[in-house]
Amino acid sequence: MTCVSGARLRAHLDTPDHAIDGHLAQCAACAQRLAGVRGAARFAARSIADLDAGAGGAVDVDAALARVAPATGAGPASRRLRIPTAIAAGVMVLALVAALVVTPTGRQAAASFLSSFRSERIQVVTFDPRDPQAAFGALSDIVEVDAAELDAGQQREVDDLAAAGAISGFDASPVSWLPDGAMLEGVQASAPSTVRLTFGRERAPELPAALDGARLVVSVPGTVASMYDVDGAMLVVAESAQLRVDAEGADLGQIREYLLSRPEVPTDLARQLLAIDDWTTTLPIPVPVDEVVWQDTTVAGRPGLMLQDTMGSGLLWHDGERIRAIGAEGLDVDALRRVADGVG
Amino acid sequence: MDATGATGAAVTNDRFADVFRRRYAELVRLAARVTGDAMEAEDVAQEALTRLSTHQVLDRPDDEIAAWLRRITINASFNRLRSRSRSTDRMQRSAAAERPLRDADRTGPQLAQVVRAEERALVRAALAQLPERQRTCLLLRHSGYRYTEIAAAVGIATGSVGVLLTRGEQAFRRHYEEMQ
Repeated sequence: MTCVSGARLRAHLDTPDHAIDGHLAQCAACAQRLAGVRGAARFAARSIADLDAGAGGAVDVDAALARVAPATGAGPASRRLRIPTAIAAGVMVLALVAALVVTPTGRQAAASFLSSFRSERIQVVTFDPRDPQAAFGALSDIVEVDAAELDAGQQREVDDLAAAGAISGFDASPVSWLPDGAMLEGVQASAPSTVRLTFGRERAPELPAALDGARLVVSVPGTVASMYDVDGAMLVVAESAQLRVDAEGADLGQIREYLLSRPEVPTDLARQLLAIDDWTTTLPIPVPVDEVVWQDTTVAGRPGLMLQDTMGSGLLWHDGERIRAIGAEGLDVDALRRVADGVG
Repeated sequence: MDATGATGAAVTNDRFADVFRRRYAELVRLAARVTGDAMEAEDVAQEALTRLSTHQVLDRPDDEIAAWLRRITINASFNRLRSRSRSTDRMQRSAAAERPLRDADRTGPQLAQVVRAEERALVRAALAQLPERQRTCLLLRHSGYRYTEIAAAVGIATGSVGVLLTRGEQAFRRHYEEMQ
């Protein structure tokens, strides 16, 4: 009998192959190889078994099923930006939330009856989500929100980029390069919408008289997000039009001073917002410290941000006309950059 | 939706729920071995299962669905591990200077726990360095799966499982020892 292959020796460990017993008894070389194979197999077995000690316990299957299929109680739910929320498209949403909640606090436009903000660039501001002072949501309590069009701004599944364009109000940019094996999984789009925030003393008694009745009109842009599957991992390419905020009936400088003095805005965040040079064109991106690693970078020739968290990495940049974001699980940044270079 | 469509959707929903209930705990266990985080493992398993619909896998036989889910779960778990590793590298580097002092403060059982956690991290890092098919073979074999199940998950002939296992186990040990 000729010497035994490594694969057969390995299989012999799991299912004894008596046909090779005789050869192993006579061939020192094969016996030695078997010992090596056995040693490596035992080492791997011990190492991988030990992973159980630090892994999870019992799971609640019904609760998990309810989470992924809340509407039908059984059917597969739309992925609805579950992972993208934490990375690329989530950054987009973050930007919009920032604009709705934080941006007005950082705008020092000229003192005029009608002042406006138009996003042209981005800049990170950081905050500690564990800071009890960071209760941005409570800011909405001091204004009356007219969000009749907000439903139109909800993301929805569409068939293709053409359909997305009909909803978002702009033609989504094609992507000229994608990693090997990337398959389009779905396209989501949202329509432009307008949110009006009106300040009044009935909600905030300490409001300065000059701000009573003042209004911020936030034009939330449409968005398009294309989701790809890359060998089991998610890649998202998203974009939105520019975001615009108009102030009516008051001086934005006064609005800003008032909002930055509110206890809901952490002191350090207020300081960072005050330090932004060009209030009228810079969109602040709030990033929770310790949860997201970020750094300034150049993306597709434009100033942008690289963000990484435990779920993936993303690039966010503003090319003058569009806010763009690309994010992925597990894809290296060089690959993300290559995708970014091919957008538009 | 017409009656036919509604019936079709109900059948799909039932099938999905059935697959979910039978596979969820198994996929969570697999993902937890890779990620070491129970909550993240549940996230990975739910992601894998929700992809069933978008990849039109639900109408395949049970064993094919199971094989597909195992592969997707393992890949997604390693992707998360890799992303987490990258995003924490910087923080770990900045914390490294303080580590000797912290280690000196640890004693007895606490130190043993830390050492075991570091060993598990090393095992995961060594697995992550293997080619996809080798690490999938290793993880499934040493989680108790049969050769036929491994072959289906990896997409190879059953006779090739031994080849990948042998190479994978030797490479795993080498990577582990190099990183120590």
